[in-house]
Amino acid sequence: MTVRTPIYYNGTDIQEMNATQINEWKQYIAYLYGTDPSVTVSVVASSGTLSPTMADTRLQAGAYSTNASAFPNEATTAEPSTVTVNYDKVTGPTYNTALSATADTNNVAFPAYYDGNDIRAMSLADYLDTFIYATLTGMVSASESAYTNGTYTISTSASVANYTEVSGSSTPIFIDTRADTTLYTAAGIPETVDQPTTITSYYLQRRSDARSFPSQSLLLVDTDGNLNQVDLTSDTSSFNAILKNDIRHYAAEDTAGNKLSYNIDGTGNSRGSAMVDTRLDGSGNYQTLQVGLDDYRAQEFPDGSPQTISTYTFKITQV
Amino acid sequence: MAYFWEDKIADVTYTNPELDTVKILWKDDMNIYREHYLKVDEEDEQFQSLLEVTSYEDIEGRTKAANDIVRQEFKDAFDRYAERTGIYTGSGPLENNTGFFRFFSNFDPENAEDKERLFALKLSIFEKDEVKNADVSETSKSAKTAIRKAKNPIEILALYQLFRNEDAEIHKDEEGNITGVFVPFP
Repeated sequence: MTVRTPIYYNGTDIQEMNATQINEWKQYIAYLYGTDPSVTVSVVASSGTLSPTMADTRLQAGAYSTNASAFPNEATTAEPSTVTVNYDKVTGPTYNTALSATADTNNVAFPAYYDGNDIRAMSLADYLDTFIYATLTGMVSASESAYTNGTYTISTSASVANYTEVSGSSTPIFIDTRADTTLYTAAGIPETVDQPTTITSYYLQRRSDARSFPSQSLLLVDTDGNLNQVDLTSDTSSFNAILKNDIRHYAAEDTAGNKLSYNIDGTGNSRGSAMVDTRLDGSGNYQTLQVGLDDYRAQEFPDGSPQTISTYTFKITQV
Repeated sequence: MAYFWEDKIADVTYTNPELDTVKILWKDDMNIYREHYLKVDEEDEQFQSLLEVTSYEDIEGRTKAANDIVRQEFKDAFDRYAERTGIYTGSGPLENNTGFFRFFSNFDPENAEDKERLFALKLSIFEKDEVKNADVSETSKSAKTAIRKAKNPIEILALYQLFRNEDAEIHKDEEGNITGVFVPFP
């Protein structure tokens, strides 16, 4: 692996870029990727392909019992049971494999650097290591920023600054519910057995920072040996178009371990909030109600403290 | 680089007796408190970043404080109920400690009350000076991790001896998993 230090023209001299200037380029490449990601994860109604299926469980009341002469005792009154709702609303990663890598035409397709003696154009391998792979490595960080544009995360809010909610309609990919114990009353027996409340909704978000052009142009060598500055202010200038094509191509099709991938509870770095299934842990709140002289009712309501039953972590990695 | 919760944390607590998930309570730009969950995973960058701004001891302390509040509320409510219904009749030490004895001698991992007690026991052990102030070593690190993951109270007490008895020895299998603790009688 050879990461080169690109050079730029400072108005008087040619000099090597510093780390900040190189990072500006990585952020910009991530921005270009984010305008049209080639590795996507989407929200679907059901049968999503990103395993595993995530289960939201909650307690519901037992069925009520009734007796004409005495309250049904606790032992014979139905216990609260568990309701399970499965979520499989995430599909992906889906790879756009319609792109081709840029060739090193005339050995001058990529930016120039100083090798200690001469100014040279980077080879394809140098260019990939310096710009494309370095950007892809930054994109799989757990910590999210302009370097991770176009990649996905999980939030507990539908609207988050610098992110686009993927479903477009604020559709959660997972909802953690619990029994709403305030809705169950003895006076209401027979209570509806399943009376849930939403604790937390989780949304799939894609990072979408605004564009920020680098402060300094890269230099390209032409076939006559001249140095030319890359157009700084156009996403579609020839070299910026190459960057966009290549970051998208290698993100989706790289065979050297830099391809982007997503999973739940697999390997990689966690993205955003883990999704938790919580449930009350009680064994039943036995309540009774007498209605008239010959109608004795009993029912067991959900109770207890909330506990995390399962934790699902959305992760990003390179494969 | 940033996380949703970065520089905005209001509280961090464990969310289950297994101590394998934490809840980060943070305040967003609209001053709304939001929950953010993380698996306890020292290999994960995000969890590593969380440990840079807090610590296991801090999370344990905050969890214990939160649990103490809930426990006291429950105890007060139960006391009121017991007084109202005449449950308190007075009895000997054996009767008073039946639940306590059963917890150690017949721990039921499916029993919610046992799970809560196990959770409380773990937190209580982490509050002990010998544990809090233990030198950082491979043994103390392994023991703390094993306490966090312990599945019954006997395991916890055995592991606790590693901090109290310098002759206690940790036993591991070939893959480095703790298989037991040898505790010599004093």
